[in-house]
Amino acid sequence: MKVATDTELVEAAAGGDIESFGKLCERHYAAMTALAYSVLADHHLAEDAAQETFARALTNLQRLKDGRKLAGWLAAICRNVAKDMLAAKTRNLDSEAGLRTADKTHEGDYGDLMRRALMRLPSGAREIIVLRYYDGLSYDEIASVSGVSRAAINGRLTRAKRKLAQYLSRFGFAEDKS
Amino acid sequence: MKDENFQNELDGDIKRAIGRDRPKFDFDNWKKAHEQEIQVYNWQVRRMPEGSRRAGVWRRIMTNRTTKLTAAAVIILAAYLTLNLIGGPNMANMAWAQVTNHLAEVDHVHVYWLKSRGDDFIRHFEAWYARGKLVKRGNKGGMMYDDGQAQQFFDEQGRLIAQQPSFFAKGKTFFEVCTAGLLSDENEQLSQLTPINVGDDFLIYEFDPPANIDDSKWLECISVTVGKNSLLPIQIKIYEKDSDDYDLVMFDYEAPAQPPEFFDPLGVEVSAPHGSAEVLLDGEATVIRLEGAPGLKQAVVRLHSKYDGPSGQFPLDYFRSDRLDPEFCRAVSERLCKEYKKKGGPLFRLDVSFVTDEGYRSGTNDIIALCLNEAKKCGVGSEKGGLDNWPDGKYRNIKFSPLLKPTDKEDTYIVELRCWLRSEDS
Repeated sequence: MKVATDTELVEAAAGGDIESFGKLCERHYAAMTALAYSVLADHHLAEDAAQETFARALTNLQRLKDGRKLAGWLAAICRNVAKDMLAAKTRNLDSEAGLRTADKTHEGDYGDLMRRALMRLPSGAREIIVLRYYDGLSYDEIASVSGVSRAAINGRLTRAKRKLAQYLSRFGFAEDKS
Repeated sequence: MKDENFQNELDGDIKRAIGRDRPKFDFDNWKKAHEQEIQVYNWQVRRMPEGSRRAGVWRRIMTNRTTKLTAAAVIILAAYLTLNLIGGPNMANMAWAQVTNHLAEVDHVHVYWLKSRGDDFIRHFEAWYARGKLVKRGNKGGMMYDDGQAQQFFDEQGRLIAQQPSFFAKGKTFFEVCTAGLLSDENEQLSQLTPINVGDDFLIYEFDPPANIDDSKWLECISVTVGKNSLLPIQIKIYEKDSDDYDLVMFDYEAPAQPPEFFDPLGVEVSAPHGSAEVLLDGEATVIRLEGAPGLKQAVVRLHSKYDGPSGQFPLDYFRSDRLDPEFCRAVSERLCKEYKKKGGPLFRLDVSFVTDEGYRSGTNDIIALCLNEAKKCGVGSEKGGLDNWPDGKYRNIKFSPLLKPTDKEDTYIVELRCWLRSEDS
């Protein structure tokens, strides 16, 4: 069976077929969740951000001029939603939560260190790593979301990982982690 | 092997730290949670069913670049006809400076620069400006990022090839940067110019090429169409001398086409130079051995003409070349003089040529003026059609970025070169 393209589904959704919009949401949910996670570093908030992204997209669908650019358009909305949520989250952080975070940083857990190192990367580098490893998006999916060519993804990913390795090595986790 | 193991381990660690199963989307639950948005959507669909269908067709038509250009041309033609048929005397005294003042307040602009060549249009570059940051994307994929502090140039492979201080930091507006100084705010005469044509919706300004820039030799005139209500440029046409060709620059001011992240340059580090050597000022030419630059074996450089004197005495014959027109050389010297007044010195000239793996020697790029610790974007070799006439007749073009560094020895400097050979296949 032929799978409908984004353009076809956008056309149908813009004409009133909400189920087509649902298919678009299913198709892009993983990417949007990963994208939001790269900003928020929280799985639950990332899913909320992805769902809010679709809500905003639905009410603005008539403004999307080219269905082929849907992924990039959704990604732009998602980044904004996630940043808004991050700002709200930062405002709501009470001293207790701050202490919890501080305690956690002393755990010395490698996974925690990795997440902290990730959050220290420039946003573009962090985004591409999360898109790749959060739930294993393909290079094509990453390319459509990040707006760069498929060929450039590999180079960017390598550079981002190199930066990540540099951060880790500063904490004593170099090539030999032991 | 060790590196490979480390990479695999790193991949595994990242996955363990952030990885998870692909999340599933439950559309039914989503609909329950977003009833209000769905109501808005349904209302939008009901309100303009015919319009929606038309919008669908429009969307399909406008995905084609040629159609877009044709549509733009039709709009421009209609504007001209309107001007010529209905033009009136209102706003005839609107000075160009008022347009540029207005433009300086604009938050975001999207610029298309096209070149007409016979019956075709070639995309020269596309640029986006938002909140003090500018990104230019060239025809072949190279990018320039200007964040207000520095300009960074990346080639089509995403490699950083040159850096220099931002033009915005020097007080230039994005319009000046985008038009390569053709319509500079500094030109008092130009600022006072009034429209040659006033229509119901448009003003047309026409400028002679500014005499103080290098491009004035090949320019015939520049015409700018400005929206009468918005007082913003809509298009610029730059006509060439002795030619039917012209450049067409179009501006749109819709909501920002790109998210804020788009304006941040890639987080890349400057790659190691392909070759470097200590070079004696005003000495013999120095051969630099190149490594890691496929197709290129050596570079030959000569450093000369250091100037570090008062800016008021900057020699207007600083730039000389036997192979170039004296007027052109003088125009370049004048431009360098202006830059020197702003930035100071010392200023050097560097002549660079390359030797390919086959032993062919390129022509010499002798129009490079360098300050210390400032990389430049340069080229030598053959554009399509062949400027250099390589002995084997093949297409070759060499892009390079020289960087001059001081040493603690008198009149001795380090020249670093990053270079890439472009063949027809690359």
